[in-house]
Order: sequence, then structure tokens, then C-alpha cells
Amino acid sequence: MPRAHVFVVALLLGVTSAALSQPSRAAQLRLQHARVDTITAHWQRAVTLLQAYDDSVARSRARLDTIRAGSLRVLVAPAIRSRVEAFVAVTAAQLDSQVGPAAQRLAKQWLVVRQRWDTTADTVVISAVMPPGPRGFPKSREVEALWGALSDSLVIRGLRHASLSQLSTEVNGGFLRWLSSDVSPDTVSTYAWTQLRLGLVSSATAVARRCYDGDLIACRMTLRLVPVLDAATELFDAAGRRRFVTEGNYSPDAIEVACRDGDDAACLTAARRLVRRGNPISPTRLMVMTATQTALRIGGREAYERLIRSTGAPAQALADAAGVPLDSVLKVWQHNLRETRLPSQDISLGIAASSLLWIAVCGALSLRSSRWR
Amino acid sequence: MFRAIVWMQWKSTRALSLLTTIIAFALPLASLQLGRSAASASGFVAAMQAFGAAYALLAALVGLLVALGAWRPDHSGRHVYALSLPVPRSRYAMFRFGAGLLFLVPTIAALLVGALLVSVSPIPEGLHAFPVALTLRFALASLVAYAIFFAIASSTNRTAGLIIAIFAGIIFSQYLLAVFADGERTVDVLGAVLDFVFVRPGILSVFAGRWMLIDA
Repeated sequence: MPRAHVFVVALLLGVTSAALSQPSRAAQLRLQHARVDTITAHWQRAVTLLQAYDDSVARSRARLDTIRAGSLRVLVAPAIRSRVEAFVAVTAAQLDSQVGPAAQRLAKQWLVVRQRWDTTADTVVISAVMPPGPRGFPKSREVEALWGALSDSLVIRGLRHASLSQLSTEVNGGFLRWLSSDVSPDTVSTYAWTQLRLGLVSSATAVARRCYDGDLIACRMTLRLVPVLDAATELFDAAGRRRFVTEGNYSPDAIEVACRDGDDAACLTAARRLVRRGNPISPTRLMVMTATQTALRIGGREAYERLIRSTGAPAQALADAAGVPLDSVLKVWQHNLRETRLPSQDISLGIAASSLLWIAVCGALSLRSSRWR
Repeated sequence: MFRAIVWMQWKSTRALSLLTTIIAFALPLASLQLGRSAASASGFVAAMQAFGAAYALLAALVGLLVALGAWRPDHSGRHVYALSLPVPRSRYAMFRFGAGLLFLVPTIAALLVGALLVSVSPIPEGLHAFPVALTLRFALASLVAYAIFFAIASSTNRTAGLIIAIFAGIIFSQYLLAVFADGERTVDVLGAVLDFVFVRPGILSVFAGRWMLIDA
């Protein structure tokens, strides 16, 4: 190859490679996009770092103090420590007297009293930190129990509520499902007993009324401490079935109309249908709550601990908690149900005193009147 | 003199007193009748509760009628008889007050008899009757109403007008506040006054709350 040809080829190759090495318009665009993406990524990283820094500052500002009293371990924001500390001791003492040795189980758990970040400084959250374990959550988790404006009553209520909720998680699941709430060891008020009595004697179920009359087997059925296979026949008599089907039913179908007209077979069919649809004939929350509290009261200081240890059905758990046979618990429950009475609300010393005062005032005013002048 | 005042008052009050006595006797029986039509014990209690307002109203009505009846002879005679008596005005007013009290007794006694009759009638299991407590409250409420209206009736027209003007002023000021209220920041003057009057130890607190002849 002549030298001139080699030179031309080399020149062409050089030009071509130079042309190839210059970025095309599309490539330039891609390059710019890549640069923008890089800058955005840097900016996002910077924001994340800034937020992390802010969070760490906030966390460091909100470091929590620890208060221990009895079996309670409470983490509290330093700003409100002085207000909370006294109530932690009060709550611990209350819990000790109410649930006895079971309160020791709270020692492995934490309650948190802190201010909310997103509201005013006066708003506090009282929460329970659920420990990991087979009965709790798979991982440690904070469960908000109560929040609101910081006040003495909120703190006491919140601490008690959170503690008892925590303790309830230790009770066997079957019992909690029967109770359908946390286990509360509080004393049942007289008003609650009167409302329960009214509910029981007003019930459409025959077993509730028989229970009120002292039939303990009926009480077991009323409280669903024994399995009920056919509620329509086991819980109701004919009149009760009719009432159950027709009461408050403003658009009855043919079967329900037949029931209303006195056809008990139709009432049976309609009642079974209503039960299948989940019409509420289960015991009221007040019934199961009062039965539980009666058992805890009979069982004394150890009752709550025995309830936690019990793995039996609700009937057995009640007996275990009370430390006596179930029928003894039901006898006391039924006695309280019948005999706990509120005094008449018609008259009280306060009403009498204020009335007599006003009678005297008005009488004195009428004696002083100047009508004749 | 007291007997003469009682006799005068009897003439002006007897018809109304008889009417309220019959109503007072019938009220507990009517409440029982309504309660019996209820399907359950809670329905029975609800029926009794529905009659609570009737007892309070009757107590106020008896107090009003007897108080007005106590002063009617004097008002119609332009107080000539009273002025002719050789007794101080306060003593005379006391006689009038005492005589009026006597005319509350038949209504209260009738309510007690009616309530006792209901309490010995069959009522749903688990419920309890409170005939004496209800009667005591009725007696106190009718006495309070009587004392208030007696005081108003014994006062001058100017005082009675002033009392009415005060109540009208409160209602009107509440209306103005509601009209010119700034958003939700309404000042509840009427509510505060009603609380003062009806919440113990307010002057009409005996009328507030539940009046239950039969309860759980």
C-alpha cells in the first residue's frame, strides 16, 4: 500500500473515531438526565440526613426518665416527671391491693408517659410497651392506652388502665373471648347491679328469669358457662320465643306473623333463623363482668394470679380464681343480683334540706312583704 | 282567728283542692295501669318514669292553686278585712300561710294512699316500690311551690312585675347573645340560671331528677 493511501486511511479512521467519540444529541440528553438524577439523589440523601438529625435531636431532647414503684416500671418525659411520680406510687399500691401477687407480672413490662410531639405540650400519651412473647406481640410494641390533657385524674386513670390491660393479656384467651374485654378487678357499683337485675328480669329468655329465681343451672346457661346447642329451645320458653321473634320487628315475614299469632312451631323456626343470623342473645357484658368480679372478690388477693394460671374453660377459670366451686360463685353472684339495691332516688337528706331552706326563705319573704303600705 | 281564716280559705279553695286530691289519688294507679301493658320489667320501669313529670307538675299546680287561693279573699276585698284586724301584718300572713298548708294535706294524703295501693299490687319481679319516698318528695315539692307562689302573691304588684321582668330579661339576653355570638363562643346565660335554679341546692331542685314510684 502506498504511503499516501495509508495516510488517507489513517486520517479517515481518525476523523471517524473522533466523530464517534463526540456524544450524540440523545446521548447528551441522557447524560444530563443522569446528572440531574445524581443531584436529586444527593439532595434526597441530604434531606434524609437532616431529618435523621432533627429526629435524633428531638429524641435526645425527649429522653425519658425511669420511675419504679412496686411492680410498675414507668418511662416518663422529664418535663412531667414531678407530676407523674406521685401517681405511679399510688397506682402501684392500688394494683397491689387489687390484684395481689399478679401485679409482679408487670415488672417485666414498661408503661410510658410522654408528651405528644404533634400537639400541645400539655397533651400526654400513656401507653404500654408490650413485651415480645408467645402471648404478646411478636416484637416489642407500644400500645397507646390513653391520651389527653395532662391532669391528675388522667394520669391515674391511664396508668391503671394500661397496667390492667397489660395484665389481662396474661389471662387465657378463651376466658378473654367469653369476657369480651379486659379483666377488671374493680368493685361493681350498686347502680350496675340494679341495671343488671333489671336486664335479667326483663330478658326474653326463660333461663335468665329462672336464674333470678335461684336456679344455678339456669345461671350457668344465662352466663354461657355451659355450651348451648339449640338456643331456641334451651334458652326460651314458648312465650319468650314469641317475644324474641316479634319484639321490635316492624316488617315481619309470613313465619314471623304466624309466630305472632301464636304458632310456636313458626316461632321455633323464626327464632333459630334469628340465632343463626347472630341476633344478640349472648350474655351482656355487665353479666360476665360482674360474675368475674364476684369470683375475684371471693378469691381474695391470690385470685387474679390463679385466674392467670388457669387454662380451663371460663367456668373452670372462674372457679379457679375464686378458689371455690363454680356453684358457690354463682350463689354469691345471684345473691348480690337480688339483694343489692339503691336507696330511693326520690328523696334524700340533700333534697329535704334544700327544700326546707327555700320554704323558710320564701315564708320569711312573704312575712316581710309591703303590700299593705 | 286562725279558724276563721281557714274557713274563708276553705270556701275559696275547696273545689280546686278536691280536684287535685282526686288527680293525686289516680296518678299512681294510672301509672300502674300503663306499666302493666309493658312486655318486660324494663318497659314497666319506663312507664313509671314517664309519669315522673306528672307528679312534679301536679306538685307545682297544687302549690300554685293553694297559694293563690290563700290570698284570693284579701285581694278581692282589697285587704279591708285584714287591715281591720288588731294583729300585725306578719302574724296575719303567718296565719294565711298555715291555713294554706292545711289544704295541701288532702292532696298529699291521697297520693300516699294511691301509692300504697300500687305498692301492694303485683309488680314485676325484681322491682321495688317506694311509696313513702315518693310521697315525701311530692310533699316537699308542693310545699316549695306553695311557698314561692305565696311569697309572690303576697308581694306588691311591683315586686311581682320585677320578678317577671328579671326572667324575661334573662331569656332576652340569651337571645341577644345567641344572635351576636362569635362562632362557637356563646355565653349560656340561661343554662347557668337553670343550673342555679334546678341543680341542688337550687330553689326548684326538688322538682328535678327522677320521680319513681317503682324502680329496680
